[in-house]
Amino acid sequence: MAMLLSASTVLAQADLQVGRVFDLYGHSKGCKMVELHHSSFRGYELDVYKSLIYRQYGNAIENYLKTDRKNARKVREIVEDGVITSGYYMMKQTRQGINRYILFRNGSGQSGTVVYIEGALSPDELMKLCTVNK
Amino acid sequence: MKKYLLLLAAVIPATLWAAEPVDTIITKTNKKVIVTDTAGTTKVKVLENDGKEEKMTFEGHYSDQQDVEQYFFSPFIPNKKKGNRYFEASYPSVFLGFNNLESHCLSSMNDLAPNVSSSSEWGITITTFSFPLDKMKDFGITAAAQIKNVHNYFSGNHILTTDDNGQTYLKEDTRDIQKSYLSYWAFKVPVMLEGQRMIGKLFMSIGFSLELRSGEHSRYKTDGHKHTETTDVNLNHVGLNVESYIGYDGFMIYCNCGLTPLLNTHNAPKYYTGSIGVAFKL
Repeated sequence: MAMLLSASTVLAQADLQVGRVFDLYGHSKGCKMVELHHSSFRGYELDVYKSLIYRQYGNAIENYLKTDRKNARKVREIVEDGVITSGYYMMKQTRQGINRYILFRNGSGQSGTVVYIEGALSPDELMKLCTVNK
Repeated sequence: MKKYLLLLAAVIPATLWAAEPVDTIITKTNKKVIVTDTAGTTKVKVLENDGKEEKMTFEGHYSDQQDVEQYFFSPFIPNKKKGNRYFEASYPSVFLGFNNLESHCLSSMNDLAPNVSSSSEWGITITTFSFPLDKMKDFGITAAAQIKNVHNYFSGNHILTTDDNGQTYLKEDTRDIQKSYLSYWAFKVPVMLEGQRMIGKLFMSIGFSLELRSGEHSRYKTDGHKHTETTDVNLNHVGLNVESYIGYDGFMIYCNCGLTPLLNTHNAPKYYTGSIGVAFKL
C-alpha cells in the first residue's frame, strides 16, 4: 500500500519540471538531495518532501523553474536589487485537497536550494512552516 | 498584506463600473497603493515613502489563471544570507599593556636592562573604519584612530636627561630616585588586515600603525616630590609600528613592535618600543 502511495506521489510531480531537476541533479557532485514520504515536518504532515541543495547548475535549474512558474496557480517571490532571490510556486492540484509547492532560494554564484512539498497544508501554513523560529 | 487584499476587494467592484483601464490610487500616510485593471488582470503596486524617496515594496498581478505576488522585502523567508553579513572592525574600546623600550625591534629579551624596566601603556579607540575584501565578509581592511598614553620607567637612579648640547642620555643620579620615567601621548592610526569568524567569534588581524607622538616629559620622583627633568628628549614625533591582535568576541590580546626608533638616534639612545597587552571591546 505504501509503495502504491509512493508511486502515486512520485507520479504527482511527473508533470512538473522540478521533477526533472531532482532526477538530473539529485545525485550530481556538489548536490545534496533529501527525499521524505508521508513524514511530519515541524508538526505538518507532508505527503512528499524533496529538497536539493546545489553549489552549481543554478542557471540550468532556473530554466526548469521558469517553466513551472508559467503553470503555477500562485507565485510568491522576493526581489532584492531587481533579482528574484527566493519564493514559492503553488502548482495546480492533481489530487483533491493536496497542494503542491515548489520553494526555491538562489544563493551566491550558481548555488541554491529547491524544495518540493506535497501535502494538505495551505499557503498560510506553508508560510508558518518557513518562518518558524529555527 | 491582508489589509491590502481587503482594500483590493473593495476597489475591484468600483473599477468594474468604470471603463477599462482604470487606475485607482489610494494614499495613506507614507504608503501609496496603485490598482490597475486591464484585460482581466488586476495589478496592484504598493509604494512606500521613507521620507527620502518612494520605493516599491509590493507588486501583484491577479488573473483567473495565476496570482503573482512579488515582495521587495522578505515577509516570509528570513533573510540569513551569509553575504549580507556586516563586517565590523574588531578594535578594542580600551587597551592596557606593558610597553618596553628595547634595543631593536622584536628583541627577545630586554638587553637595555637594568636601565630600563617594565613600563606600561593604556589607550582608547576613538573611531574605526572597515572595508570587507570578500563576499562572505570574513576578511577585510580595517583602520582606526586611537589615543594612547605611555610611561617607560627607568630602573636604579637613572634619569633620562638632555644636556645643553641637545644630547639625550640616561644619567645616574647620586640621589635616591624613587621612580624615573619618560611619558608621552600618541595618536595612533593602525591599518590592518583582519580575518573574522574562522572559528566562532575568533578574529585575528595584522598590520601597521602610524604614531604621532607629543607631550613628552622625562620626570622623576625623589624625597616624595615629583620633578620634571626635561620636556625635550629628542623624541621622534612620527613612528611606525607593526602590530597584531587576536581575540574572541569582546576580548583580545595585542602586541606591537616599533619599526622606527622612539628617539632621534643622532642625539639620543637607540630605543625601540615593544608592547603586549589585553584589550576589551565594550
